[in-house]
Formats: sequence, structure tokens, C-alpha cells
Amino acid sequence: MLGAVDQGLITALLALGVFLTFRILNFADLTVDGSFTAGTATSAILVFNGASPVLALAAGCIAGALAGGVTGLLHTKAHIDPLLASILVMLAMYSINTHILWLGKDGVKRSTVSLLGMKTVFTPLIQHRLRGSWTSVGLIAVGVVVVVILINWILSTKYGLAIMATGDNPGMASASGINIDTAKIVALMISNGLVGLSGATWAQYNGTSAIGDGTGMILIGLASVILGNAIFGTRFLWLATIGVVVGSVLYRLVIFYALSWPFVDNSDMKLMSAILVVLALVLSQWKGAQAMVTKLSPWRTKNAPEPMTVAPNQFSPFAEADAAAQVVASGLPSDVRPD
Amino acid sequence: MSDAPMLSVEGVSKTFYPGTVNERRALCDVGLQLAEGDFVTIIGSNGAGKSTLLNVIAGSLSVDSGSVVVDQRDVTRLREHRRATWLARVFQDPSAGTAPHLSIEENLAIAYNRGKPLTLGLGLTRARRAIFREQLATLEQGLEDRMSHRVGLLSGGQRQALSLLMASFTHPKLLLLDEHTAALDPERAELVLRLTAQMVADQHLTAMMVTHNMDHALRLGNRLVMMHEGRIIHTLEAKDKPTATVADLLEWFSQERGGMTDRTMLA
Repeated sequence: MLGAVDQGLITALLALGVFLTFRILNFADLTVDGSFTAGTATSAILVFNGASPVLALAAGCIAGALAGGVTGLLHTKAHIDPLLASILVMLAMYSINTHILWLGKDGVKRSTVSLLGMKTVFTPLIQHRLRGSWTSVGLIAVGVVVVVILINWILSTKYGLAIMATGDNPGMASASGINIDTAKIVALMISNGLVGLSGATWAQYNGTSAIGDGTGMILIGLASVILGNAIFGTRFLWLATIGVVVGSVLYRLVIFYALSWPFVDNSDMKLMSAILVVLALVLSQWKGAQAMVTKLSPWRTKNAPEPMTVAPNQFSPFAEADAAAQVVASGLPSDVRPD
Repeated sequence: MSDAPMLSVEGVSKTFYPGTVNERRALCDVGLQLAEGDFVTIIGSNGAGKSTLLNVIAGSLSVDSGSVVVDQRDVTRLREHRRATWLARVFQDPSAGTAPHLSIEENLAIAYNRGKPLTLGLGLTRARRAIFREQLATLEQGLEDRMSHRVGLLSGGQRQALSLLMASFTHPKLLLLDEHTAALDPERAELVLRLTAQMVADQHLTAMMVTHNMDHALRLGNRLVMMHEGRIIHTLEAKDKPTATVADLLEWFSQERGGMTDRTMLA
């Protein structure tokens, strides 16, 4: 079970990335599936080739950030819809990730790289049989806490405020002197950098990387964000980010529990994930559940008028389209609406 | 006061949907100059090109021809966020000028940073909060005690007052007000109008205000411009404006529009 907590903490980095795009930037970014695999593949192949495991983590982070940057460029410079731009990058990343996995020093074209017996950042834990113990949970948690603090710090800076304004009201941001194109690209790079780092850590933790690692990862990120925000609310940024981490761990525990049922096996995991996301989406719309959450969470009661009704919409892949429609309707100047 | 105008719009034309059945000439060869400290009110019926003119100056619309010069700097080709260094706007829609999910102080921090580089320095510091509190108090809305509240929770009038404060915060070279009282009830509109007059006077701002309300257009500002079908059809200079009346404005309107009734124009 503690192994599930370990994994939940590692995917919490991915969930924090998803939180940044979906919640803060209001951008339906599906690059995640591609950038996660970019992280696992880059990290695994570097470790396989004998590079420093820490360097491999950094490289995985950069690989993810680059994928996010491309999505940002496609959206802001080529004016492609966020959803479509990110799906395009996700698709393209499949080929790129395949090539990354082929970069083994022996020149063999693998679709799976195994790190069995190789030196990863988790080797000391494995040697002491501490992988999946409270020690490993504690150590990974420290890393996640550092990332949470970093995110909260970034968003409290002048540039962070600019990113938040860009997501909340792009017209106002632009009129306030913020280059919203750059802000979007930067936010997408940070977000997918976190996703890549999550993937890089994931590969070293599990000792393997395969081309299908990232499939459905966006759903796991979304499920974590929805679960976390439903429990911790979104009024306070630091609470919301902690909530996302908790949501990610909860998600892993639910899946872990579900997989222990006799008639469920590993291949049912994606189905389980999909069902869990549907449940989270439906429950977050249900007034009874909202009231219960409000009752159970002391920090939410002070902010009772919090409009929870917007929550499901925020997480819909079409939230961007909705937001765009609202912007047009709100009378912001655009070439479509001349006077 | 320098001789060069603070704003110089020359020969600006803008056509929407050119070459289609919906083609509409929104601005035809519009020219306008504002000296430092000028406060021009712009009136005209729907579709006269008032808001388009403001959008062209702010950079949210590009011009087909002509130039926009702010404080001797040609900004015609600059994008909106670059022009924001010198220009500030208040929109008609109270929700357009503020970020609803950010707090009052966060919105103010963004406005306060207009025209300055976006660094990794903290957006909100104790010193800045003190400045914001002091400035908010001048709005007489009690917002100084609600600085951590989300802007989305404020009323339309409060949001518009806040937008006005955010726009004038950094002493812009030019303040653009786009029917900023139109969405408010008469009482709130009166308040925002009073704040506008006060801020423009106190900070000696150069400003343009688009309005549908002839009374407001006459009460505020030292000059008045009347637009119709994308052209400036009448201007009132500083020496003539104090004596002009609503009846005069209606007279000019009807001269231009021939058969139109007064009621249509006021609509």
C-alpha cells in the first residue's frame, strides 16, 4: 500500500502541472500524455546509458517543458485551438518518444527500456529494501513539498500574477501590459516540465520506461485535481496545491484498492481511471456532496459563497471554448465585434 | 506643457469584413489631436465608430491606414500590451477590466506593474499593500478593508470604481474610458463619473471618454467630439464647450442625419 502512496506522490508532480494549465491558465492541455512519456523515456535512456540519475531527472523535466513550449507556440503563434494544438503535440510526441527510446548506447531499437540493476536515484532505497516504506514516502514527500513551495512562490511573483491574470481575464491582462502569448507559453512550459519531471521520476522508481507510459495520464492528473480541489477548495492557492497532491495520492490508493478485487486485473486500470474521473466529475456537481465537503472541511465554511457550480465546467476540455465565448459576450474588443 | 500633442491620430481608417456583403467602414480618415491635460468626450449614435476609435488607439484593433502617435511615439504598429505602458483603459463591461478570481490586491498589483518589467520579485509586498489601502480609501467604497476578497464578489459599480483606480494608478499618458458608466444604475454611474472627474483633475490626466449620455458628455471634459458613421462631424473646443447645451448637440445631430428623430438619437 505504501508503494501506492509513493506512486501517488510521484504523479502529484504531474497533477500539479495539470492544475497549472487547467485551473490557473484555463487552458485544456492534453500535451501531458506526450510530455509524461518524454520524461520517462529521456530519464530511462540516460540512466541506461550510464548518466547521472539526477541529471536524467533534470533532462526529463526539460524534455517535457519543450513539448509544452511547442503546444504554446502552436496556440499563440499559429492560432490553433488549445485542445487541438495539444492533441497535435501529443501525437507528434509518440514518434519523438519512440526515437528517444532508441537512443540506447548499444543501438538496439527498444520499445521498452528496463533499468533492472542500474543505478537510479532510488537505488539506495531499493538496496535497503525501503522502497514502498514510510522512509521512501517521507523522502519523496519532501521533494513534492519543495515543488509545491516553488509553485506557490512563482505564482506570488509579478510574473506569476501575470500568468494568473492571463488565465482569468486575458483582455484585462493584455490591457495591463502583459504579453499574454509569452505568459501562456511560459506557463505551459512550467506545467509540462513538471509532467516531464514526474515521468522521469516514475521511470526510475518503477525501473522501466515504455512508449505507452503516458497513455491516459492526463486523466489521472485531472482526477487528482478534481478530487483535491473538491476537498480543499480553491480559495487559497497553497491549500489548493496541497489538495492536488492529496488528490493524487487518494487516486492511487483507490486504484490500488480496486485492483485488489479478485475479478479485476492490471489491464482494467484504464477503465477504472475513467470511471473514477466520471465519478469525481458527477459528485462535484452534486449539491449533497458539496454540502458534506463543506461540513467536513473547516477552512471551507468561512468561504461558503464559493461558487462550486463553475467547477465541473472548469475541468471540461471545452472550458477554453466556454471561456472564449464569455470573453466575446463580455464585450471585449475583437475583430468579430467591431463596435 | 509641451507644444507637441499628447495624442495624435491622423488619417485613420478601418473597414470591417472588407470585400464581403457585411463590409462596414467603421472609421473614415479620422484625425484628432489631444494636448496634454485635454479631456475629450466623444458622443455619437450606435455604430458611429466611437469604440472602434478607442480600440484603434489602444491597439486591440489594427488600422487599415493612418497613424497613432502617443507623446511623440508612433505606436501604430505596436501591440496592445506594449501600448499599455502609456495607455490605460476602463471598459464598458465592469467584468472586462478586472480579473474576477484574483483578489482586489492582486488586481491592483497587476495594474501597479503596468509598463514595468515582469520580474520574479514578489507581486505583493507590505509597502505596496499600504499604497493600495490608501488609494482604495479614496474610492469611498470600503474596499480598503476587503483587499483579500475576490473581485468577482464586488458589485458592478465597485468593480468599475476599482477599474478606474487601476487605470489611473500609474499616471498613464492617456486614459481611455469606453462608456464606462453605461452598464451601471444611475446612482452608481453618478459615483463613477464623479470619481472620474476627480481623478482626471487631481492627476492632470489626458483622457478620452466615449459616452451615449449627452449630459455626461457636456458636464465632463474640456472638449467634445461628435462622431457619425465613422467620421468626426463636429468638435467643440475648450472655449465653446462650457456654453453648449444638449439642445445644441441634438441640433447638430439632426443636421447630419436629416430625417432622424431626436428619440432615435438618444436610444
